[in-house]
Amino acid sequence: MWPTDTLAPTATAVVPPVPPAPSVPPLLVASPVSVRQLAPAAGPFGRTAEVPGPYLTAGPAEPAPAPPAARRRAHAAPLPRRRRSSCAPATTFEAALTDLAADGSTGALHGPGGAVHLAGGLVVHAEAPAAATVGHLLTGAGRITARAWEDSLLLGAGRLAEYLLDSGLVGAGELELARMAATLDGAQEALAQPDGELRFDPAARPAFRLDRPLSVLELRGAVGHRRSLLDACWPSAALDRAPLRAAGGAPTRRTAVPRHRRQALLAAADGTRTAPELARLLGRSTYGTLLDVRQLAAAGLLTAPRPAAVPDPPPAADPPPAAVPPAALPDVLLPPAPRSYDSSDPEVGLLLRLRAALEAL
Amino acid sequence: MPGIEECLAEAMGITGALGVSLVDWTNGLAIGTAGLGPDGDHEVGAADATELARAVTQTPSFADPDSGAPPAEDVIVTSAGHYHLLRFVPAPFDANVFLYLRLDRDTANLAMARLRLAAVAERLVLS
Repeated sequence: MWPTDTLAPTATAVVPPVPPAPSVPPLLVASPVSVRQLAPAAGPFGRTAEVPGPYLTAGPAEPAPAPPAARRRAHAAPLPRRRRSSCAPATTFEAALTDLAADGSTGALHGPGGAVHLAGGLVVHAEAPAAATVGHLLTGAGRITARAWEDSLLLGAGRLAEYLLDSGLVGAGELELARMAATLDGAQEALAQPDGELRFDPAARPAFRLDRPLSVLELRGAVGHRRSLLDACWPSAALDRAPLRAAGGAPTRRTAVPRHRRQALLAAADGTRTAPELARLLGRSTYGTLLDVRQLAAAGLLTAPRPAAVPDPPPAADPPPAAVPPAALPDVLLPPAPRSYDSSDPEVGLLLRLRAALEAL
Repeated sequence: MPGIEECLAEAMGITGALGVSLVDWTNGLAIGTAGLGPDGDHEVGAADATELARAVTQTPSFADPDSGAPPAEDVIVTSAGHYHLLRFVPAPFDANVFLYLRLDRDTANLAMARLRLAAVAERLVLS
C-alpha cells in the first residue's frame, strides 16, 4: 500500500522543518509508520504550541531521532500495510459500504454473497442467501407457524413488521431481537464476500428495519468479534462451508453446546448438508449453528467427509469418497483475489480476521 | 407486549439500579441501554460484561450442557460498591443476548433484584 519510492522523499521532506516534529508525542514517534502519517499534520499542530512541557522542551535539542526512523522505515516497507484507518476494510464490499455510509447514503448495496441496507448512512438491515432471515428465525423457533408467516407476507405486504406486531403474532422485543440476529447473520456473510459485482440500489427498502440502526463501524466491529469468537472455539474455517458428517466416536473433550442442540445437529449432519443448510433445516441462525459446529469439531464430533481431513484414513482408502473431492473442493476454495497473500489459507484467514477484530476495537 | 425500551425502563425500576443494558454476547454490542454505564460508558461496560458472558456460555463447566435447559441463567459479581447482575434472555431463537444490570450495593437487595431481572428477561421475549 505504501510504495517505497514515495517513502524516501516524504522522509527527507519531513526532516528539515525541525520545530514541528517535537510536538508529535513520543509514543507515536516510536512507530515509524505513525511518524510518516503524522508528520504532514505536525506543522499546524506544532504552531498552536499548546502541547504541554515535556514534548516541547525535549524536542528542539534533538533533531537526531528522524534519520534512524528513516532507516528503519526502509526495512519495514515490504510489510503489506493497508490504507490507514481505525478499521481498514478487508473486502471490496466493506470498502464500498464504508464509503456509502460516509456519504450518508440510503439504499441497499448488493453483492453476489449478500446485501446491506443503509438509511442515512446507518445500517438498518442485512441479508444473505446463506444467512437466516427473520422469517426463518421465527418459524424455525416455532414462534409462528409457516402458514401464519406466509399469510403475514400477503396481508402485511409493504408493512410486514407493523402487521406482525399489530396482529399480536410477535412481541416488540422479540421482533427487534430477531431483526438484530438476522441483520448480523446477513452482514457476516455479506461483508466477507470475496470480490464480485457490486450494485447499489438507492430505491431498495427492506421489509425489516432495526429500531436502533448501527453505524458501519459498529457493524464491522460486531462481525469481527463474532468471527474471533468462532476462531477461539476452533481456529479453522474449513467446516463453515463444507458438507458435514457426525464423526460417530466419543467426544475428545466436553463441549458447552446444550445437549438438545448437539443431538439435533449431529443427527442432521448426514455428509451432504453444509452448516448454513443445517441452520435452515433446524430453524437456527447461521451464526449459532457455526458456533455449535466449531465447538463440536473441536471435540471431534463433526468432520467434513473430504480426504483433506487428515485424521480420517478410512475415506481415503475407499474409492467412492475419493471421487467426491474434485466436485466439493471448488465450492470450498475462495476465488483468487489480487492479493499478495493467500486468503484461502486458514491460518492466513485467521490472522486477517484477528487483525480486523483488533482494528475494530 | 413490551419492547426493549420498556423492559429496560422496568429494569431501572428495580431498587438500587444504576444502569442496565441489553447486550449481544457474540459481539459485545449494547442493543439498548438505560441509566448510567460503568464510568458513564455503556459501550465499555457491555464489552466487559460480554467477556464474562462468554466465559460462562463457552465453557462446559458453567454452561451445564447436559441439563437440557438453556446454557446459563445468571452471572453475579459483587464488589465493594456494586452488584453486577447478568441475566441471559431465554429467546426461542439464537438471539444470544443478556441483560446487564448494575446495582448500588448500599440500597439494592440482590435476591430481589435477581428475581425481578429474571421476570424482565422473560417478558422481553414473550408476547
